[in-house]
Amino acid sequence: MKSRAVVITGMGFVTSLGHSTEEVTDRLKQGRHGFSRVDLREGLNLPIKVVGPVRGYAFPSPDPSDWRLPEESVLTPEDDLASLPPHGIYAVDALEQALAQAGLTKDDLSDPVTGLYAASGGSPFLLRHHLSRYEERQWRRGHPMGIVRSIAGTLNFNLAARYGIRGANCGFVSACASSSHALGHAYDEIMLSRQDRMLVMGAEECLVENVIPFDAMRALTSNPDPETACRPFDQSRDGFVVTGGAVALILESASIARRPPLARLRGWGQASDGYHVAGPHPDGAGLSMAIERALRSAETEPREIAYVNAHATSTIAGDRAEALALRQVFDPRHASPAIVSTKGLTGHGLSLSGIMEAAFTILSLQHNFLPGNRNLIEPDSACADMHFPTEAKEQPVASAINNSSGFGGSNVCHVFTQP
Amino acid sequence: MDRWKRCVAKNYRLALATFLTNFCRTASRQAVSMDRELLQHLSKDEIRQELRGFPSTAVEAVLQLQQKASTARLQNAVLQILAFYLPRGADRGNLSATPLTSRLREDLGVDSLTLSEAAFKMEELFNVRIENAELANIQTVADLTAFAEAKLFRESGKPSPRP
Repeated sequence: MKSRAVVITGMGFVTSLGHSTEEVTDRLKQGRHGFSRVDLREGLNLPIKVVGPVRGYAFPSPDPSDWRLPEESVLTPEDDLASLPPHGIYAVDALEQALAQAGLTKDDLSDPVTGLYAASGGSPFLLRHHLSRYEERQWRRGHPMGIVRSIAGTLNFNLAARYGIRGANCGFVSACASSSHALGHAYDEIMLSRQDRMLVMGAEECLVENVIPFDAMRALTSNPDPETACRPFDQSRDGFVVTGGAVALILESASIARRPPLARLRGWGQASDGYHVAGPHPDGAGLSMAIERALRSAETEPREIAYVNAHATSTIAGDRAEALALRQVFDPRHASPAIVSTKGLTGHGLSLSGIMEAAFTILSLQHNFLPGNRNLIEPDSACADMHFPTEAKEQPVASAINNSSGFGGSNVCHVFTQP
Repeated sequence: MDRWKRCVAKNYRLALATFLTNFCRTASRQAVSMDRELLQHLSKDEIRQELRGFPSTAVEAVLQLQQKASTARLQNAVLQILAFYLPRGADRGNLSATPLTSRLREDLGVDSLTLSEAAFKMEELFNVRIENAELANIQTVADLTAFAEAKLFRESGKPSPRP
């Protein structure tokens, strides 16, 4: 099983931090967040005021002829967008960047050894629209594209068709761990020699339909100040901030890579809490087991890990559970890795967050820097004695892990090293 | 475009014959259907709203049909609607110039989902319900326009399912 090496050869970003690798790297290094005050529904004065918006794109109605895309998008409203949800538009743009970096064109993707794994929560925005139109017509008449453009899976349906994928094609649904599962299983496909190349995607919208329902769970902060709303690991944190966008990674068996690898995905692990439908195990039991399994899979010792990209979303229970899980694996009596939640800069991308943060981790390895924990002023007591840098700094990073946790207590951890 | 030219060239005689046949048929039917009305349940603005994103020629074709229904106008409107759903790369603007014998699937690249989309738009516009079996019988452009004529002049605008 260890005879193959899985490397990352391409990355693409459509995020609140920017729409290119360069822009995202700069923002991470400079600690410049991507939050704004927005009006999620005009005139309603909704309690949630801050999100991490995806700039340059606007989806004012479910009709693609009303959509506005930025100049750098490879799509235009005149293209055939009938089957694509808004997050599918982000995904196409991110994937094109990643393919270009990997030196691939669409023609390279239709061989049986190239697959695509994707993760999104579907499009509640379009689902609501199509179902309510259906209901208005007494359930007798509906838009033929209503299903494929809105249900969970729409991302993999659209991308596989658009890019002529003939290898593995699947979507992953584990809420906020979804794209981390996609990435882990994509690694397995290559390690098991089932595929030589995997395109891995995560994407989400950032619209009222998929933001506000988290407020019903009391999971979002109602802090209206974009500067201070999101504060992972800080004592005063009171909920997360939602973001959207898309991130693409190209995974290849090292033997077929055309471009110099950016990093190596060394292994991964997953484990579950078996505890609660939404909340984490209070001690982070599942997460610590996922981390241990990932390290074992990567044949890496905890002391070799220089950097942890934490899942911490800025919720009271989640951040504490993760700090406790890390404490269990990385004994603070020995050297603690630098633990950073980049959600302090981006917000929480839900299904997108796992792969987005995997990509941030790769940027740290590639460009020798650690991002900082924004707004971490008074760390939670669970963080005591561990290293939570507050400022970004230049520093070589040999090995790093990326954590993700989702509803149902599902936990994933990836191990990345220099190529 | 080459495809269209080849198709037209190859089927020139057939096309001419079909055209003449259809011309005569159209002319005779037009006389019968002059007094029919279509789309009276919608205002002009509602039609424009329903056809948002469509090229102005398509919107104009439907508005003309509303103003005064005729077989020729109905054919034009239906073809303009279908053209909008054709795969990108096809000559969408010129569908009304293609031979009526053109096969939707083989010659025009209309797959079943494309036809469903056009049918849905017609259902919404004309307030009719088009059954799967009716769609299954539509093989050529002529089938489509003949179906539209028979169906819409008979059923369009009747109450329900639109509330």
